[in-house]
Amino acid sequence: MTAVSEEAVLEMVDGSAEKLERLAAYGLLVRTPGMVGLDSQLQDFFSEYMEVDETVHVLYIQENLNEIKKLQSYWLKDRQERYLLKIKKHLRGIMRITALNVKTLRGNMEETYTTESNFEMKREKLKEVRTKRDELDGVIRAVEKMLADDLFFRAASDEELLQVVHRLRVMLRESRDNLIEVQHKVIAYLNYIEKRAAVVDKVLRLKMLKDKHYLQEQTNFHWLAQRNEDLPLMKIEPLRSRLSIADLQEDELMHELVLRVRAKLKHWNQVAQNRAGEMPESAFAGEELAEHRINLFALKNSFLKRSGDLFSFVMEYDFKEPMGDVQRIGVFCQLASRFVDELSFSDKMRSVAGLDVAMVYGKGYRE
Amino acid sequence: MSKTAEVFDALCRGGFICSNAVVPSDRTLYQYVEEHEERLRESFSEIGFRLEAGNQFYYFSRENEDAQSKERKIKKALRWLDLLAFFTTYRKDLCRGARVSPHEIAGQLDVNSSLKDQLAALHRGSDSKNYSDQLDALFKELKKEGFVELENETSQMWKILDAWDYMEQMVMAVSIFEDEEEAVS
Repeated sequence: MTAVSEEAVLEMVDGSAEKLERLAAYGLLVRTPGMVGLDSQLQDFFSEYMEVDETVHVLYIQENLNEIKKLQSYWLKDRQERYLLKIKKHLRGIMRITALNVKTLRGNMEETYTTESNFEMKREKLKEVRTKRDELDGVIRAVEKMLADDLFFRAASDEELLQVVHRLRVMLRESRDNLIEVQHKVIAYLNYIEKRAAVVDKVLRLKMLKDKHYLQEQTNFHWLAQRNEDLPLMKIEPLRSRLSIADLQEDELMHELVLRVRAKLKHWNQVAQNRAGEMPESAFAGEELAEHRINLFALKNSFLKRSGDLFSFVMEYDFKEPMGDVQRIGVFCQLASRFVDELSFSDKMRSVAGLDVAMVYGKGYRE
Repeated sequence: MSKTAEVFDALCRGGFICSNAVVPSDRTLYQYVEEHEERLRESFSEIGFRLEAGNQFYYFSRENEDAQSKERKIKKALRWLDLLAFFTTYRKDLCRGARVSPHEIAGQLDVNSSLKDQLAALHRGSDSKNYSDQLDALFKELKKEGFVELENETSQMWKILDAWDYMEQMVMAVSIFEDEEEAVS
């Protein structure tokens, strides 16, 4: 029962507390300190009368049904018009209550689903809606069965009664269709809730395992994450691309950008700060030894382009640095050993300064 | 007009394209992918990316076999589990499409000690001390991962995107090996 504060009610009775007390004395109001509420019987009456009832009353239909059956048997025994009138009244009553109930049930279901945030409550309330729905469906079937089977309704001669029955039938069918939809929705909602509940359970359970350091041992969490190939889970590496050199040269915008970057660099303190100190004098006085190296490869190539034998070539070659005979013989040996594949060694020997030297030619060269 | 480049841009850094994104152009992008899914999948597969379809969202996957990245992936997945647990502790019916604000959570911190502990654990090692900073950081992290978006700046209302489902699916895929003793009892 909803109660409101006494102050709010006082305004409605012209501010006289006496009136309020009188109402309470008649039993119309229930007073608790500071609060005023409507007597529960009155409240029921109003909610029903104004069709704002939020509960589904299956029993009302059942009562009407029982009443009809009773009246029907009276009528069969004693054909008085008033029995028939009452039957019609109760049939209309069933029609009204059923329509209202179906509407309420729907409303309850939607409201429970959208506003109830507590999982358990939501599930329980939806299950209640389901039970109510089944009950309502049962009563509607009973009424339909009565209308269909009972000879009284099938063979009634009263025009008005036939009309009422027909309308009731149509309405009942609609209600049943509605209830079927309600059932589908309740099942869908319940399924959804079960799924959500499963997710919640799993998350909390895994979290618990993780906190206890059992996650790796008791689940395949690590394994799954390891072999996951989804980008959202990977470390994100930015794509890198190079500037197009052609653009740098041709595009005017690029030109400007280059200049701008250069200007920025000029003001870049760090460049100045990073400057190395003076070079010490000692750096210039150092006695470094330069090693002369002969480019054997180039030498070989230039030999292959010529005719004649390798030894004479080496001995006569005009090296950049002056070279003694011993050094030249060394170069000859290096060349001959390194480029064996590109040289041909003849059987002939030549004697130079007490050395027997093999005659080596470029491949393909014929004396 | 082809939006292939736009789609690639949105996905290649590990992002999601969600059907319930806050920005209308992002929602349009989702519709575009939906309409051209086959063609896009083929184009991306040529350059080594797989277009993956979740429940109302898209993302990329790619073969990757280096050991270091495995470790990183586990780390990230564990972090996600912590985040998911935190939000589940806050509200059990929190899922895609829901709205949530840091203020609401802050209001719960004092009455829910588990929530408080988890928040502290999530920020271990960071220097933000007060709750609202920590919660802000949390939402920013989720935004970076693509799970939430700020819907209303003045009321600080965040919207949970469809990609949230990805985290949940990840968790649901895990199987727990029951102890034999436990199974008997």
